[in-house]
Amino acid sequence: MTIEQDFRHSLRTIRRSPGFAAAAILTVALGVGANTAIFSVVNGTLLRSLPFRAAGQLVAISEESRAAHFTGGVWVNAMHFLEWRKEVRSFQSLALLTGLTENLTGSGEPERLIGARVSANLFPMLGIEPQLGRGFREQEDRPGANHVVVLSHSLWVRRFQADRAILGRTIRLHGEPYQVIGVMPRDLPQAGAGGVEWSRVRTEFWVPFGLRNDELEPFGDFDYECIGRLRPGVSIAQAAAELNSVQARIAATIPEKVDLEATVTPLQDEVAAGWHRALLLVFAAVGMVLLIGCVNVANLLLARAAGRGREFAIRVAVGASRIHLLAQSLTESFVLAAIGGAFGLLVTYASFGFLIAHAPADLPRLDEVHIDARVLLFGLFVTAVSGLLCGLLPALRYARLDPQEGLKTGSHSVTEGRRGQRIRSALVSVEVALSTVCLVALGLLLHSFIQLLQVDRGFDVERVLTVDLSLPDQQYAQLAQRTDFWHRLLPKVEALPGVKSVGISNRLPLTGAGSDNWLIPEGEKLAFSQRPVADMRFVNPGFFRTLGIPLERGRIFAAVDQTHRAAVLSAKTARRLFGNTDPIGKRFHLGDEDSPLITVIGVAGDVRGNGLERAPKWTLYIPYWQRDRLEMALAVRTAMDPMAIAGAVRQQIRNVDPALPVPQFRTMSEVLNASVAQRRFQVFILAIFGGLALLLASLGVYGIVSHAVAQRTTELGVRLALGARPQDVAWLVLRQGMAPVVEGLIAGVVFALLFGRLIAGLLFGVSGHDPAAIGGVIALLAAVAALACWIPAARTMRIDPIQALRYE
Amino acid sequence: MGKPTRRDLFPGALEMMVLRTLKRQPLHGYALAQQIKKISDDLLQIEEGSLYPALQRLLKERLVKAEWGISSTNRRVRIYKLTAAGAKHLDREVLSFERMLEGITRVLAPGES
Repeated sequence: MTIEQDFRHSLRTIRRSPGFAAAAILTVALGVGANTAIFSVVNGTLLRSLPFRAAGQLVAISEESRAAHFTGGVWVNAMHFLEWRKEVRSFQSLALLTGLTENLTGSGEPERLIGARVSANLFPMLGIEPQLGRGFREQEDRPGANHVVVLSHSLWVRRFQADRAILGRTIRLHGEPYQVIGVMPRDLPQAGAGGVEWSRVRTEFWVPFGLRNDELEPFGDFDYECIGRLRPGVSIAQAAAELNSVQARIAATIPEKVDLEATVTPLQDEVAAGWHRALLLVFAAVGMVLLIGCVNVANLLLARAAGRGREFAIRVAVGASRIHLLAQSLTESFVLAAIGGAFGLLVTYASFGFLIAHAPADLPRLDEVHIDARVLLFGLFVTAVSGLLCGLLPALRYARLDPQEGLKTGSHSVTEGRRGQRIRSALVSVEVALSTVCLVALGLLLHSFIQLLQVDRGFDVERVLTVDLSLPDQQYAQLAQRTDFWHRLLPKVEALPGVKSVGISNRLPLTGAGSDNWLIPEGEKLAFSQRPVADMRFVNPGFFRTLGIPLERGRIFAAVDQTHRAAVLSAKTARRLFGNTDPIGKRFHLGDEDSPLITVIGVAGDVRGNGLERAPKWTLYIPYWQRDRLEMALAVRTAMDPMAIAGAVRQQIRNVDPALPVPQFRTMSEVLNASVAQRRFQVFILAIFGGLALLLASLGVYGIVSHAVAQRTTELGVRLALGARPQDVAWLVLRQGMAPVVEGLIAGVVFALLFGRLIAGLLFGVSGHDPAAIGGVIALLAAVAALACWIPAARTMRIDPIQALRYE
Repeated sequence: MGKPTRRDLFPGALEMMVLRTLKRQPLHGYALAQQIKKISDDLLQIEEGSLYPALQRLLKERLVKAEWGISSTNRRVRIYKLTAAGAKHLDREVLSFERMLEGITRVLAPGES
């Protein structure tokens, strides 16, 4: 028999049992489809090279120095960068970048834009060509000559109506004129062109770096990013070695004894940093779902093998070789898998849009995630593997059939015997074990997520409207000018109907770090490394009430503190500085011993301001009229839906300063949700896969028990006829059906405990062996499996012994 | 020939200006450059690229020390401060400069030819 005949025979067989075929095809389709969809994300984010010319040569360089009180991160010093450009031969080019936010004024409503300041050679280095106009020339990369700008496609369309005559026009950024010389292509990849730290946000404009001499601080000012292109044939290790020898020379020129090192990382890794584990976890989970599906289909095929014993026995008797039987049965499973895979492709396309829409906004390279050739190839590969996994065991089963048994009259099927039954039970155990691991992963992450949301934040998020305001430094260079602005705005906003209180701060909780500074209690002399570091927040008195931060002791700033230097400490900070004594009235220096003393007038509750997952930082609150920032956030607590009042607040801001850009308003609830977006995505995806795993496993259990009942009708009928009670028979079936489930659960829990240790780093507030999660999963699986066993078991209670015995 | 030519500063002048400016308050490099420019009313301009080398020299001679602080834009920056030795050195230099100026003034004074 040729392959073609095998193929047609398989199709006929499939058509003859549509129910079974549908179940198998659906299972494979779901498994393959889900895996391919997830792979497209993993591919786009982690595997595929960055979409730049010879992207393998691109690296990110960062500096490290313990003496400078930091390690890690992407920051680079401009003077060092220039030295590298001069001395390091390993790179064919190096570029410096930094993110910028500037106000665009003059052409319509003022708007605050995110942009980047980049070396002139960055675009050629990455291989980026503007769609209109040109990039930067070297002579424009100088202070004074750098008032040219390249716009992003979206800015060009949104703000300038895609006017093709935009080149040569002048726009005002930071109040200064910049000439538009180019527009970026629409499909410019988000990663890299605006730097790594900023690669998760949309860069709207680029200006040449124009490094000034006063930015060339020899040691300090580690403020910039550096991207480089290696010379062909140079490895990262070689480049790093050469770089570090230059670093050592630089360190020697610094008068104090300092350490200075540089690290070279592939740009691709830097862009995806922090996401590897999370994505691979999801990928592993979906892989497990596919395995469970394949086990199910294998079980189904094995069950059918038992039923086709006669057919195969005849074939063998007629002369077919065992190898051929094996091949034929494998063909059947491959055909099933292929059809399933084709439908799986539909599943991938259908779920793709959904997946992208629900992906967290800060997933790197989300704009590059597509279903491309490699993804389709993966789908094909997974389909083939599924076919093999599903078909291997049944094929081996067929090959071992004893034709004599099959040909005996009076037997419709070859009884599976102990061995066949054991294999199928073992497969069910495997399924249940895999499901357990998958569900425990889900349980751990879900419990973590719940713990995170319930953690004591220290502030309220209900009904608080927020907006970030950036006062331009031309009009607001003096503290007095800024204070005046707030003095005019705050009462206006407070007077709006529905407003309960108004707060301002340089940073609201969960929107990033504020400014760190050292605290030195009065009278103490502390070396740098011993000084407590606190996060400074510049606030108005209404801030605490607006954010729901409780005042534990003392009072908040008032009019009497206009010139009196006062501060409110967070509880943790007060304890750190002054132990258990009453901190009210005590004083401390901010920064160093020569700065004026500040008096503690109050103690506020601790706030998890830098992320719900992290413990509250040491915080101190200073009145904004003594110290502030140009960029402050405004928060408004309302009596009703916060967004309803957004328009009125915007109007009041405009009344005070019509030229001030007012960005989008957000509620604190939205801010909170955004801060946990990565976790929520994980839980969401794992819930879908966990559900699928549970469904497939319970179908598997149901299938085997159901089949067992059908097979043992005679035996059970005999038992009933001999006097067994119906419920005893049902109980027997249930017990025997649950036996492999229990084995699977035990094995699964063991693996889950090991697994829990692997992902302990991803958890919050729960341990890798969280009893609640594991207990919950065991209970759930046991209950569902018991139900799956019970339904066929209940049927046995209705067996009519006479009927059963009559059937042979 | 329209523009008035700018004189080169005599050696040590830049260091003296830096020390004097830092005596008023500790400053970050950029702020220091701006401050000197402002106070001298633009009459004296620091040659491009000479500020940081001057600061390095002062650091080496321990007339100035550098510490970490926070700039108004939330960045960790190096802030330069006058040391006690630096204050003494400044007083000596100012004295010596004033003497020199006195001497020159006397020589340049209109008098009997």
